[in-house]
Amino acid sequence: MSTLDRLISRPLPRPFPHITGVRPVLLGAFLVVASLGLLQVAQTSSATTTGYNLQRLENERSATQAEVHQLEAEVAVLTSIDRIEREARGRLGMVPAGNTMTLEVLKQPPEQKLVPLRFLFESKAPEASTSSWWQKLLNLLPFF
Amino acid sequence: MPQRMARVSWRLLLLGVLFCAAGLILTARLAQLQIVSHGHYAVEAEDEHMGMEKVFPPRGAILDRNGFPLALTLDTYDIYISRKVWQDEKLAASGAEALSSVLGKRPDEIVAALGPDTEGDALIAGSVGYDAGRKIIEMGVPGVRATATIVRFHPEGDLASALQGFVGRDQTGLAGLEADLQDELGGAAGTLYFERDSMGNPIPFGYRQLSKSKPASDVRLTIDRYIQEATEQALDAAIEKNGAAGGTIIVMEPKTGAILAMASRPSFKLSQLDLADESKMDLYRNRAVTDLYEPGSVMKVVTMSAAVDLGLVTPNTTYEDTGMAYVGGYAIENWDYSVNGTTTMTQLLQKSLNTGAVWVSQQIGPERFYEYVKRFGFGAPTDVGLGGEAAGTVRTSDDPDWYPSDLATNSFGQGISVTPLQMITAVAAIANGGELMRPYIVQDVVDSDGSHETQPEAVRRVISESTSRTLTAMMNDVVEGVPSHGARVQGYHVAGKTGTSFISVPGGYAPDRVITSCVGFAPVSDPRMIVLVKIDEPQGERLGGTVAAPVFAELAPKILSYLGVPPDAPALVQHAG
Repeated sequence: MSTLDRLISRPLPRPFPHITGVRPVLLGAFLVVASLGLLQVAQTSSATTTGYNLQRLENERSATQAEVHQLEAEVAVLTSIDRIEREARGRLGMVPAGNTMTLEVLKQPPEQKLVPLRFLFESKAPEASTSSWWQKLLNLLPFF
Repeated sequence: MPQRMARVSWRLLLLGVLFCAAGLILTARLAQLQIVSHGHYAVEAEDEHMGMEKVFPPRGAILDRNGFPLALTLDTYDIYISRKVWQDEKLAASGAEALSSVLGKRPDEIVAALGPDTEGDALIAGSVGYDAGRKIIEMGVPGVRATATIVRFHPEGDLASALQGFVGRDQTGLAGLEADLQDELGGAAGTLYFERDSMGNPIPFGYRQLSKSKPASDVRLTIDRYIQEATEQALDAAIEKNGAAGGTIIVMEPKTGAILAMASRPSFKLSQLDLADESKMDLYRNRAVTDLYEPGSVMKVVTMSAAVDLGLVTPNTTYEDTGMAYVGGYAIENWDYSVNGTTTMTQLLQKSLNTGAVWVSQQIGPERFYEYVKRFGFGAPTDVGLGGEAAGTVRTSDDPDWYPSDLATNSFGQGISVTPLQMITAVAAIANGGELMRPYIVQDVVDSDGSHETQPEAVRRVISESTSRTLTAMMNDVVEGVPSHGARVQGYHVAGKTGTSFISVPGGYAPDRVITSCVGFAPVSDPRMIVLVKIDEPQGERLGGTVAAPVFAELAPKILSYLGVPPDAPALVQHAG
């Protein structure tokens, strides 16, 4: 009976004995460290991927720029005086003028469009005011 | 026992001292490396690990006045091979094999291009196309390095070669406008710092920093490609026809000073540029602004302008031409040894009489004559903005080595040296109403802030408008009042003056070497263009009227027609609405 009493008086075992005391702290620390480690790996990986993408985009930009320059050169060759003369003589069968007669046409010639577009020096129109209604409202205030 | 202990203690003490001393030495050495010489070793380490590369912004384009490109930039690569790495024959063979298809060279040619050296990098192919360069980079052949660079491309071929000039391998302008406008066309290169591997190649995803570069600007010139082409063709034809040593033609807008064309020979061709050939160095200068010549009788219009402006003569003022003028102990004759008797000022210019010019200069006097010479811009650079521009040589009455005979010879363009650009600018002042305009060749510079346009600039008033009109009429009489004058242009009223001068050599003048020239502008009623033609040392015909004037007559109608200047009434067939 006394044995039974002793058994009864003993506290009941807790359902998760392994997380009591120092262990939970250690486990928590481990999880934090592991998370930090994973975060570091993820960040490094992300930075590397971003760096790779950046470099790829830079290469693409350079390639596009080079292509633009190449196309500008091709356009320039196609509009060069030599090429125009070749086409005029060869394809259109034109010859230099002999007797020159002058006919004055009292009309403005059509506007000449030059290519490439980069070389068109069109004057920029002044930008229209883009103030919103609330900015205008604020401007009415004397202290603003 | 105590003795033994004492001996042991002494040994331990010695050992301790030795250890301490060694420790101190090591500490001191560490301090020296890490603290005292930190900077030095840090730089060495950085040099070892970090590479540096100049990154040039794409060089700006050179455009003609209508925006047609004369010089463009193409992206290319220079391909280098590390000789050290390619010491490995097997690696070199496989590398050369891989490169051969892209570079279009045989593998043995590529290996041979490394030369006998075993150190350093060898440039195996310069200015390789962008796509080919990228392909080589992607191939990743050991020891092969591709450096991004640019190359200038000239869509109009060799047009205006001397004017445009060229750039070196470092993308810096070396001659012509490429050098003069280096800041605008080149911008400022940025510097790329990068971590590199033992081969010197950038480490992928390693440290990389690019300092910002200043973008280059496009430069639009006042040069018109059509007029430039016509000018160069006319100059080449004239040189060939007359067996001349060279020549210069400049076309200008008299009202603004804008230069529409500028050609000089001998010159170089951009397509055949060989900087290694030192014998061609002489061809790289722009003779229109660097070379001096004695203008001969064209100078008579300057002399006459001064006299008319001072109210000393009118077109109808006469002098007595005895065929000879005596000045300072020298006898001066007319170019054709003619004696013309009573001669008007207009006839003086028409017949281009030296004695008449001397007479006029004596009416003006040396002080006032040289004042006008300087007002017309002689003896000082025009500040056109082209490198190497000469000031010319004008000896005035204030100079110790001046003689009275200088006034006489200067009045008809001998003993005074000018550049072709100075001469055309001076006559342009007569054509435009009397103002000396500063010649300019850059119409505008276009950068990220927009277009910065050059505004025409009047340097000073040289003669009155009335004098300008009088001289224009007299110069018109020179061309149209002389039957079969070489500078006549069908359909347009032209004003002009020709000149022939001997070439000065040490001790005097070479009797068999002359420079012929002609300056003319049209239409007289509202001058739109002025042309200076100078042909050096023609063989056969040796007069400005027969050598240079016909070149003007051939060129002027093309330019006037191209500029949309209607001919004067008799040549106009019809008006159409």
